[in-house]
Parts: sequence; C-alpha cells; structure tokens
Amino acid sequence: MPSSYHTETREMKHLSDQELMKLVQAGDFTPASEIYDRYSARIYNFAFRFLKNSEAAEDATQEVFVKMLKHANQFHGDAKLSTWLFSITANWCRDYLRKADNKTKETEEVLISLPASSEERPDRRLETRENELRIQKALQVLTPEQREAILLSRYQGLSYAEIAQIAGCSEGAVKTRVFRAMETLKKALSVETRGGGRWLSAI
Amino acid sequence: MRLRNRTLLTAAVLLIATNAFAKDAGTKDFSYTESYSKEYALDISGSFWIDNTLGNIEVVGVDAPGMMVTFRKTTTGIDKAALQEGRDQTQVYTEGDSRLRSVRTVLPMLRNPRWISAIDYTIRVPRTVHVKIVSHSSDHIHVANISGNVTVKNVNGTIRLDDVSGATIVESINGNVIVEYAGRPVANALLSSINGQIQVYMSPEASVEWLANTIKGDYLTNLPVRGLFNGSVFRGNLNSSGGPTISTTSLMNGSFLLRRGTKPADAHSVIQIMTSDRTAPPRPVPLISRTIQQPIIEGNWTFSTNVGNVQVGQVRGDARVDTGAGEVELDTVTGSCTVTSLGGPLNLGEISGWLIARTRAGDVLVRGARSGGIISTGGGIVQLFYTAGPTNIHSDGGDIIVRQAAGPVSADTHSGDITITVDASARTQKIEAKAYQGNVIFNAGPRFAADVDATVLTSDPDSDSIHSDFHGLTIRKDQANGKTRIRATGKINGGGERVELYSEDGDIHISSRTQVPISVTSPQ
Amino acid sequence: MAECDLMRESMPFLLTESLDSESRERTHRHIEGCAECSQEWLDLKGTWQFLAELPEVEVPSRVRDRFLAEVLPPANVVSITSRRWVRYVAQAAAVVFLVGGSYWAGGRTAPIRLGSSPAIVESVRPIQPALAPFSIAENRVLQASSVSPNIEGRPNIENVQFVNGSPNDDQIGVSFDITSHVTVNGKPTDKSMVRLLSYVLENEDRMSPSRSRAIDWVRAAYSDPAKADPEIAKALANVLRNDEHQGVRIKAVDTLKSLPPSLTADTRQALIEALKSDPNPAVRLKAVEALARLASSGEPLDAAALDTLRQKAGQDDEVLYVRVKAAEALSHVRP
Repeated sequence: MPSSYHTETREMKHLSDQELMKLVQAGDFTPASEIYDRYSARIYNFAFRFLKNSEAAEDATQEVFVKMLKHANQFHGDAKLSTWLFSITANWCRDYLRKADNKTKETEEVLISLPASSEERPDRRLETRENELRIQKALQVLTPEQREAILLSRYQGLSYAEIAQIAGCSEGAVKTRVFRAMETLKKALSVETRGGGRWLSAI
Repeated sequence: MRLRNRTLLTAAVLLIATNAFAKDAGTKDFSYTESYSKEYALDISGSFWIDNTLGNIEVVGVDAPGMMVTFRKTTTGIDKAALQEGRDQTQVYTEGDSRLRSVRTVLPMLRNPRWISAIDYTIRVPRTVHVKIVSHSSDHIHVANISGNVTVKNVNGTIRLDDVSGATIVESINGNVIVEYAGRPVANALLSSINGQIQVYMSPEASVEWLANTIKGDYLTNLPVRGLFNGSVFRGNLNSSGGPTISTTSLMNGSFLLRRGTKPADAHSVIQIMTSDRTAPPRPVPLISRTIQQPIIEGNWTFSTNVGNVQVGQVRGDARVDTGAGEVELDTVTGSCTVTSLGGPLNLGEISGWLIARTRAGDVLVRGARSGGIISTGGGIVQLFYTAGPTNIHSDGGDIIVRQAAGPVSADTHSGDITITVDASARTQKIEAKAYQGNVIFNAGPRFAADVDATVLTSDPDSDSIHSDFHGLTIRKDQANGKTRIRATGKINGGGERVELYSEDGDIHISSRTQVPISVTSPQ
Repeated sequence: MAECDLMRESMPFLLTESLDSESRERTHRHIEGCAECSQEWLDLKGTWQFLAELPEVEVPSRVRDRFLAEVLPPANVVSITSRRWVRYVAQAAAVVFLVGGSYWAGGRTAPIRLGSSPAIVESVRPIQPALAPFSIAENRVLQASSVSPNIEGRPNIENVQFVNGSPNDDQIGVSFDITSHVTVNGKPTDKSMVRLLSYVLENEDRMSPSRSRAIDWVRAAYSDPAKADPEIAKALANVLRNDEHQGVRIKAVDTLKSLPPSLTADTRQALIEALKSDPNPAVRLKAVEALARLASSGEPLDAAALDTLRQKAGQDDEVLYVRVKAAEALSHVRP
C-alpha cells in the first residue's frame, strides 16, 4: 500500500548516511532515493560549475549515484559519504575533461538559475545574474585543479583534508591551490573592498 | 521644537558640480557630485545635531562662534533618469536656531534601488557646544576638539573622537570606536560596540576607572591597570582612584586601554596579566572564549569555554564539555560523556558510556546512548535515536522523540509531544512518558507485553482520547477538577513491565508498529 | 617580510575558519598591525564573500527519474510509467485510510476509539458540484483543483488527518469531518491545498495537540524550496504569535527556520516579536537563529529588527547563546 511505502521513505529520513549505506551494502536499494535527495543538488552543482555544461552535469549526477550503488562495498563506514561521493564525481569530471571530443563543449554557456522569488526585485535579479556570469567566467580561468579546490571548499564547505583526499594530493597542495585560485579570482573579479563595501560597484 | 529657520539647502543656487560619467570601464553608472557650504549662527553654549544615513561626518571644534556646514553629495544611478531622481530625492535640511542647530539628510522611505546617494559632511562648530550624531552607515565619523558633551550612534564604520573632553556616549553595532584623550580625561565615557573594537588612548599620568564588559572578546592594555573581575566584568583603576569612569563594552570583540602613541598590538590581555602575576594572590578570572574543531582526541578530555563552538569527531576516553554559549558537536565518545551548556544546541553521536547532556536552551540530538543517561533542555526538541540503558529525558518545552528504546525510558515535557518507540525485539520494557501539554505516542512490537496505565486529562473529551492497537485495556472516564479524565489500564500480551503514559490536553496513541513494511503492491 | 609571507599562507585557512584558535589569533593580530596584509586580507575576504553570488542551480527532475528508473524495481517508480495508476492508488489509499478510522488506530485489532462530537455543517464547496458524484457518501475524496481556494465562513472542521504524498506523484492529502468525512488530495503547491492547510493551522478549534501534528506534517510537505509558500509561512507565523502552548510555538518557529528564506515581512516580524518577548528560551533561540540565517543571506533588516537584535545582544539576563547569535545577525547588516 502506498501509504506504508511513504512512511517507510519517511523513516529513511531519520537514518544516518552510514545506516543508509549499510542497507545498500546489504543489497537493499530502497535508500537510493533518500541518498539521492540528500546529495544530488551538491553533486549536480559541483559538476555543473566545474564543467560549465548542464548536459554533462546531468550525466555526472546520474552516473555518480549509479556508481555509488554498484560499488557500495568500497565505502567504509568511518568515511563521510559526501567525501566519497565527491571523489567519484571529481573523477568523473576529470575524465570528462580529458576526453578530447568534449573540449569543444566546454565553452558552452548554460545557466539555469533557480527562479527568483516573487519578492525579489527585477533589478536585483539582473545584478545577481550579472555577478553569476562574472563569477562563472572567472572560475573558467582557473586550472581544473584550482577550480576543483575552490568549488569544494567555497561552495561545498569541505575541509582541506577532505579535498586532499578527493584530489589525491597533500593538504598543503590544496591550500596552495586555493590560495592561487583566490589570487586569480581576486584579479578577475576585482572586488572593491576599500571604502567598506562592494555595493557601490555593484550598482 | 519651533522651526525658526528652515532652509532647503539643495534648492540653493550655490552649487559647485562636477559631472563624472562612466567612472568605471566595466559599468555604465551615471554619477554626480555636488558640494555646498553655508554659515549659520550658533551660540558657544548651544547644541548641534546631525542625522545622516550614508557618508562620512566630520565635526571639528574651533575657538569662534558660529557654524559652517559643508557637504558633498554623491549620487549614482544606473541611467540618467535614475540619477536625476536620486539627486531630487536626496535632500539636506537644516532646522533650529542659534541655541540648537540640526542638519538632516532626508531620503524617501522606500529608496528606488536604481540609484544610491551618500553625503559627506564637514561641520565647524564652537568647541564648547554639545554634539549629537546619528547615522546608519558612515564609513568614518570623526569628532575633534570638542569640550561639550558628545553623543554618536552608528551601525557600520569607524567612530573616532580626538580631544573630546566632555561626557561621551558612543554606540556602534559593527564599527570600531577609537577615542583619544589629549589631556587627562575629566568626564565619564560610555563606549560600546557589538561586533567592533573599542580603543581608548590616554596619557599614562591619567587617573581613570576602567569598567569593561564583553561576551566573547578580551580586555587589553599596556598601561599599569590594576583591577578585579566580577564575572566577565572587569573593573580596574589606572593610577589613583577617583577619576572619571571609562566604560567600554565590546560584546564580541576587544576593549583596549592604551598609552598614547602605541598600537593595539602592543597591549596584553588583562586576563593574561592577572594569571601570570605570580606574586599576587590568585583571583577569579573569567573563562577565555575559544572554539575547538578536531577529528580525534586521545584519552580523557575536558574542555570549557564561556563562548565557543565545539566540534570533535572522536573522543577516545571520557569527555567533559562545559560551554556558556555555543554549539556542541561530538561524533563518537568511547567513554562517558558529560556536556553542559548554558545555551545552544547539542549534537551528539555514539556515546558508549553514561551520558549526561544538559542545555539551558536548545535542541538536543543524540544518535546513540549505549549505556543510557540523562538528557535535559530548558527548551528545545530532544531526539534520541537509540538507547540501550536506563534513560531519563526532560524538556521544559519541546517535543521528545525516542526512536529505538532498548532500555527503560522516562520522559517528560512541559509542552510538546512525546514519541517513544521501543526496540522491536523488546518483549517488555519499563516506560514512562508525561506530556503536560501535548500528545503521547507509544509504539511497540505486536508481541510487546506490559502493564499499561494511560491517562488523558482534558477539557475537550470529544476530541482528545486514547487509541490502542492492543487488546486488554479497560477505559474509564471521570471528572476531576473540572476536567475529564480518561484512563485506560490493563495488561497487554499477558502483562509485564509498567508502561505509564500521561497527556494533558492531548491524545495518547498506543500503536503496535515499530517498523512499517517496505512492500509496495503492484496494480496487476 | 618573512612573517607576512607566513601569514599570507595561512589566509586560506582563515577563509574557511579552519585554523586553531591560537594561530587564528596570531594571524589576525598580524593582519591588524600590518597595513599590507590587512589590505590583502580584505581583498581576499571580499572576493571570497563575492563568490557567494553564484547561485545554486536546481537539478532537473528528470535526472532523479532517470536514476530511480535505472536502479529501483519498477513497482517503486510507477509514476514514470503510469501516473494515472498512482493517482488511483492515492485516492484508494485515502479512502481505505478513512474507513479504517484514524491512522493510529489504523488496524484490524478493534481500536478503542471514543466517540467524536457531531460535526457542524459548513462549506468547503466544490467549484463544479456536478463533477462531484457523491450524494450521502460518508467519505468523499476531492481533488484540490476541484475545490475553491476560498474557504467561506469559518467551517468547523474536525478530526483532521494527513495523507502523505508519494515522492513519485507529488500528491498530498488532508482529510477532516465537516458534514461527511472529506479528503482533499492535491499537490502541496495547489492554491487550494495551501489555503486549506493554512486554515487548519490557524483555525482548528482549540487544537494545540492536533496543530502540533499539523506542523510536523506541513514541515515534511513544504520544506522543499520549490514548494515553499508564503501563505504557509504566514500561518506558521500566526501560530508562533498566538498559540498558548510553548511546545507548539517551538515547533512553529523551528519549522519557519527550516523553510527557505522566502519569508515575507510579516513572517520576519513574527520572528522579531518572538525573539523580543516569547517567555520560552528555545523559541527565542530558534527565532534569533532564523534571523541570523536571514541576515547572513543578505536579507535587509529594518530598523525595528536592528533595535531588537541590538537590545538582545546587550541584555545581560538573556541566554548567552541568544546574545551571541543576535550579535552574529547584526554583523551581517549592510547599508
């Protein structure tokens, strides 16, 4: 009966990532949708901003979650599920960039922002939109390694240690990547901080 | 106040205007800057008030009567029309007479976001007048050479007072407050900022009483201050007592009392000075604010702070955490765990030993209490996913949810719902749940055995009641103190441990499901 | 100079606030005393903050469908193949549910159910009565789209139950007694559904206990940003203002906090009032957390909100955590 099924999916909400993964490891894929709901937005956003291509981001999201189920046994209970998922995603994205035939698609500019809430004023939306374009453009100036580090630390809130694990390098290297990336972004975005705020330059 | 002389300054003819187009290659803003100045009569014992929204303010005292107002208005719009509207709608008014002059920036209640304007003021007044400044976001407010009383309020931006000798009140929210005394301070000063710093500079010969308060910051000095703590409040003296009181309150940042010509970096924490002074008898000093974020801690661990968040992955031993305010997050504790907070949410993972978790206000979430324990909050939602020992839960207001009780549980809340689900394999378990304003939901497996005593006390017996999936309960209704008492008692599955449920103005549900089957039938 | 290099190297850690307190303090001290590093830090921090302007994009729902279709057995993803079927089951489920009595009694084990009071006739009228083929049926199931969003009079609805929506077909349900037992099914975003739920939240007669259940349920149905609705937020705000039971107020403010920051001015005002004067510390704490979250997302705060926050931050006898959070909210105030 559907209602019992829903109660079941509601129960899933209260399980930890580790508990959900234990079910998956035992061959029960019922938690798939719950895990998807917890992480798909982060995975998709990372892939989208990293590749700047919505089609590829969709593929990445789909394949990352399928991989997660297929290789569930590689997941260790003491690790964080997010870190593991981002490792799979980052690998996928790197592979994608490596493939020569994708090079042309890389410059595609697809931006699907969340619809603005009705309260928001149109001019504010325009401004945000312009800033979004500026940032997206600036991100593309970075090397893939730097971009990965920035996306994971700034937008996904991962620690440098976690990023090091994902990128397969030392924590120090991650820090350097972030620093270099920030130096580049600073120049590319030339955010005004003198005079106590950036509102003037934003209008 | 009677308005004797009200002038709309912007309407005046005297305009020095510069039209600056396209200030930036990238943006196409239109910008216009105009300046104006005018003299007014102002008595040497008069007052001057200014009220601005955005832009710098400088008030300088001189040894001459009269007042000179100079301002510079900068308007920026996204197109010419917006610029013109901004210029029209940003106006400066002066009001009052030679006893009290006031200058105000007037903006429409709802500013069109297509333009923005700022006004920088420079005002010259007799040095003996009283000055009052109110602004929202002045980057800099500077008052110099005034012997009257000075009051300044601002939200963002720095407030700086140089050689102000009258009584002083300064309030900021996010800006720093810097006060420099030229001579010895002779009047009281009340300086406060919520997130900004307070810096007071004076001669080492000055005599003042320093009263400082903070939530999260520190008190620092490089002057020979002696004093005592009373809780977090520091009361100290520079040189002999009897001087004026300088009160500094920086809730989240530091207060500095500094020798003229030195920098904040030269100062030391009063707490450090007091704790390092071996010759002095030990005195109470407040806890220092600190936060901790660490993956693993080996062995037993004790941590206390007055303000600060705690985030630790694993404690391999006993953990003991005290915080005055902050979020506490412990993932795993292999030993016992005692967490007390004067306010803030507690987020605890697997606790192997005995658990004591108390917060004066905030939610408590515990994933696993292997040995049971005590959980209490002065207000907030308590969620316990698993417990295997005797557990006592209390909330002064808020829901209590126990998802899998493999040990006896006693829970009560002054207001809120209680949901307790016993472990599916448990045959019997002692449970007590009391919701003084709310529902009680008790879930157990179909073969769960217990002596049940469930009571609902309600003023609305038509809607509040007791529901049970189990056979064997007898229901009685009677009146008590003008309310209806509904009571269900009896043995389920032959009887066992006592299950006592109580709800005032709510329902009681005794349900035989601990888990819901996963199956989904297909239509065929 | 060497020190500057060293300090600059720790700046990335400062950005993510991952320095231990001692090094953090040391770095900040240095930055405060060194003009060059201070500018560098401001620029870095400004850039870091500016990066927040990159909005989060929504995952197209087809990705989810595609993924679930690939990994789950067909029965669970029936919505992809046959939406009509799901709707049929949803209605059938609702009816079964109603026939079986309450959710909690729900089984075949002879529930103890003390009688409910006779219901009062009022109106939740179908727009097209001709399309509602029931006469003296005890249980009606209506689609929200066939119910007028305007609830007329103040119908006395009782015995309210909620029917969960399927994640696949996005339907939820509310059932209650008016003259007969009525169930209204629809999407959470259907205006009629929103109105009906707001009505249940705000008007259900003397019903803090049920209201408390209603809030739980509303939270599950509306916390998704795509479904957020200002009317629901407003109804919760009114519960926060008016319910005499602190447990219910805690739940209401907790739910408001979890709703995306599409809160209207009125809702914000309710948070301010709660922070100012609610006697329960947990309500104040959650209200200030919600305000701090709003402020940090760049929402402007009006003068009254500023005043309340300032007063709270400085109030000696307030819970310290509330004071700290109030200060935090203030630190985000922009012109």
